Amino acid sequence: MTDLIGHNNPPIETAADLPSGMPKMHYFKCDIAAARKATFDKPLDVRGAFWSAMLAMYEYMEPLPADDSMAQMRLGIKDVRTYRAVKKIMLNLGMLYQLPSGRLSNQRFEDEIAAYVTEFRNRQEAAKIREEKARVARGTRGNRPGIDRESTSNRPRIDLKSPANRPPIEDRLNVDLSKKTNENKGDATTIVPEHTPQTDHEAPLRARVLELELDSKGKKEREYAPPHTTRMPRRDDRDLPPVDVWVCRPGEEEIQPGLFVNCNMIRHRGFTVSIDSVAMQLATASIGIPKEDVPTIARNESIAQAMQWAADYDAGRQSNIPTNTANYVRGVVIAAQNKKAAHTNSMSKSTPYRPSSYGREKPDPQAAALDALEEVNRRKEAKKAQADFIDGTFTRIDR
Amino acid sequence: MRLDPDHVQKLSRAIEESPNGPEVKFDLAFMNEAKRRLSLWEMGLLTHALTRASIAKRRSVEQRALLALFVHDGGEAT
Repeated sequence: MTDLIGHNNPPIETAADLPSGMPKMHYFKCDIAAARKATFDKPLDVRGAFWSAMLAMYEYMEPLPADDSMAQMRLGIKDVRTYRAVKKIMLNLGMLYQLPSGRLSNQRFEDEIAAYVTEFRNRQEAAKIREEKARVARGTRGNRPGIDRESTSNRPRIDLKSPANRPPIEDRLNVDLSKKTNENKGDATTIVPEHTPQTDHEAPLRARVLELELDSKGKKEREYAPPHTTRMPRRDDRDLPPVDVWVCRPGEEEIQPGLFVNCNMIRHRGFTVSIDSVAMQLATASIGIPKEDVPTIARNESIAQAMQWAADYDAGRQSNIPTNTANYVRGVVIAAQNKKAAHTNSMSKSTPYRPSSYGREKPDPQAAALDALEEVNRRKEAKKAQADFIDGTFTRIDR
Repeated sequence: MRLDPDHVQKLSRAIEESPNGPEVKFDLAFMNEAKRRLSLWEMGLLTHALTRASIAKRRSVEQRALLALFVHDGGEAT
């Protein structure tokens, strides 16, 4: 019979019997003396099976299942016959015992689980008490006598529509602010009417009333511009037909649907590339590109990248388009130039030929054999001429 | 050999002395991973080595490494 877990609670046979929300165990305490006493005279595989069974129980926080195949999987044993054999040994030795439901359990495991559940419940209770105290404290603060700022009943009611509550602003509205009234200095300072500190408190209310007055006169928009400045017409005010900017303009070429190129700009709905910017960046990068080649390289590389970006944009992959397109193109060109320079440097080294070396022309064996044969023949002829000279029969042919 | 203070503190937190002998907090994740990788015989060998390392008076470097790998210092898991 299993121990009771907690206070007057039924025994826990499955993980479903555990309190809800209980976290998994991260470690278990092992009484080393008891473990050694239980296993010191057992073979190593039986010890391994016992520890595997304990670990499986701690991992799932329940006794081993009654089903042999399921228990075998939990122990990590590949063969169910092996599991049945070690199970029989462990039951005979008293390392495990069988519950009425057929599950296998261990007293130490049940003690550990019981301690874990008890600690969890104690912490839960402590948290509930702490939360209850905090709630009571909050409620006490909320019921303190005083002014409840959030309550609308405590706010002073001001009827804005009542003329009695309106401050006398008519005289201030009639002041001509465009006229310079300060005679002492030549600046544009305007003299405002004197006001008392009490009237300053009414400033927000005055502003609100002023706004209401203006709206009531049918003026929808407040004019902030001074009267001596001319107001630029906004886009909404222009009586122009809507312009579709994503068409080919004069001087542009549509190299791909929606991708327009002229002499210094690449336009697309998703991005723009300034070819001049790329060219200037390349010209100042000092990476060894001839000055006359910079515009061509900048233009070709920009168009190449832009075509790919346009295809990405149409395919819905806008994230492939860099934020700063000109910088990206500049980086691509510089990287290619650096790679080319590194390759040139590696090729200029006087290293002997190796079959794996890249870029070296492999010597033709047939041509090498012909060269060697020719050299041999040349040496033979030279030797023969020398022998003829030594024999003394040398006839001049220029006579 | 000069021991690392953190290592000593970790082992002292993981191994609690009780009247019946030491109680060691074993890390379930590491032990289960070992169980998954080892055979029953190897698992028995590992637990034998762990228990011997736990009760050793003067632990060797191998025993210290083994314990450091498989014990849990009892803190809140991350």
